[in-house]
Amino acid sequence: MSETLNLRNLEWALTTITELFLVVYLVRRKLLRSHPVFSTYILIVILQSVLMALTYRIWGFQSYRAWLAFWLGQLMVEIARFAALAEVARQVLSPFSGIWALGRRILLAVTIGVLVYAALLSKLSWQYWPFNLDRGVGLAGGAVIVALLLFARYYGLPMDNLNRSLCIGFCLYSCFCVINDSLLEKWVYDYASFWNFLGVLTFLASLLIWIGAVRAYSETAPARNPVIVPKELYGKLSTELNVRLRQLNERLGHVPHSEDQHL
Amino acid sequence: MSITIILFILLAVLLIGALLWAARPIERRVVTVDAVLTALSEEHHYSRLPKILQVLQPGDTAFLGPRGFTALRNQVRAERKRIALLYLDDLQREYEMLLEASRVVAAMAPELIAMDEARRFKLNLRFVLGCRYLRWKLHLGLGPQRTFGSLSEMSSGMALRLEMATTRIGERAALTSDYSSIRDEGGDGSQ
Repeated sequence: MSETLNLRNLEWALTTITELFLVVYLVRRKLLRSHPVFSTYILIVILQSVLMALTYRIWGFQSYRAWLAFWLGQLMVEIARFAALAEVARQVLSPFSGIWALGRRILLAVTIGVLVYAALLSKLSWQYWPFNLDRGVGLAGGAVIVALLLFARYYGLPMDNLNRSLCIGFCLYSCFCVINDSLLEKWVYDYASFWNFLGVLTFLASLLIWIGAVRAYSETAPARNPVIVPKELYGKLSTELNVRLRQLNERLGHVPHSEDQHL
Repeated sequence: MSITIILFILLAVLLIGALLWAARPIERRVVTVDAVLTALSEEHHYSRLPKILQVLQPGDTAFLGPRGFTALRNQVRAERKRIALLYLDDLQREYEMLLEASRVVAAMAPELIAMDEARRFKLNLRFVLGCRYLRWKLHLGLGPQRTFGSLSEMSSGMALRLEMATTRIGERAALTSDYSSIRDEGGDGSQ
């Protein structure tokens, strides 16, 4: 038991030190201004670690107060994480006002859809609600990031390495949270300490990805804002393009229906 | 293990897979506004289509078999397959150019028409799948023959609706003023 505790303490200490390193790099690279929400998220995570260390010292690991403090802190962290995700999405999409207007609606729909899906599939018992919430938010976060990356890919939008790394880190952590929470639901008692260990380990991996990206970040000349064309012109061009694309599709579409001979 | 847990784990694994695919750096193709307008107003491969179709007529090879020119017939058929594949390549290239053009236009739009975008996405999926299917059939020697005849009919009526071209040419001045390459702006690690 004490060995497990020592390992956990070591892991926590290592994670907190890594978080502090990340904050230092964020300050040195002047990213507090460009990524204020992400920076706040990291600070909240550090604060949660400190508060939980104090809570466990005062009330012990098994107390109801410690349990409550952990999940309240976790709720704050989840909210901050989602806000940081929104910040990344805004940075990637907002220079293109039309795409941003459509993209944020799609991302919102994905978030709500996944949260509802997770809620419908989750157990109703009160003791499971923190896991359910954690899992639902994790799944929604992962889905939003993947949707954002696919969206940016579809429109060929530029995404710098830092934002891409933030997305990868968030998504990997979110997905591992979903897997961890699902396994914990099944083996709630035997698996608890291993769950904690894996949870912190995956977060540590995300932190290392972020540190790598922040270290490599270099401020370049600010990009020019893309030129915006009048809405009417976009409408005309868009319709014309769709007509042409449909015609090409029709040409292709005739092929499979009319074969009767082999070459 | 319950089905719910399996579903959650499966979804998470799928998301990780999708992340790995989607997070790859985007291959940037520089598309100028001029190229967009050209893509809209030119018929790249259509002009060559009648000749291609003439070569692909089924009757061209039908008489070779009974006269004992089997090797020649096979060679001609192989050539036809190659031509059909080249035609598909051309069709796909034009399609991709139009799609790229639509993305450039979308990136410049103050507000997207969601229906247009959704329709384009659907068309894109259909085209990509259809093209792969056709390629696969042609490679397996199951290529359609009469299809190209129907393409010929279509090509004659291929007067594309370019009545907007004049308007576009007038608007070209507005378009080409600054954003020679929308893809170049805002990228390359800059914030």
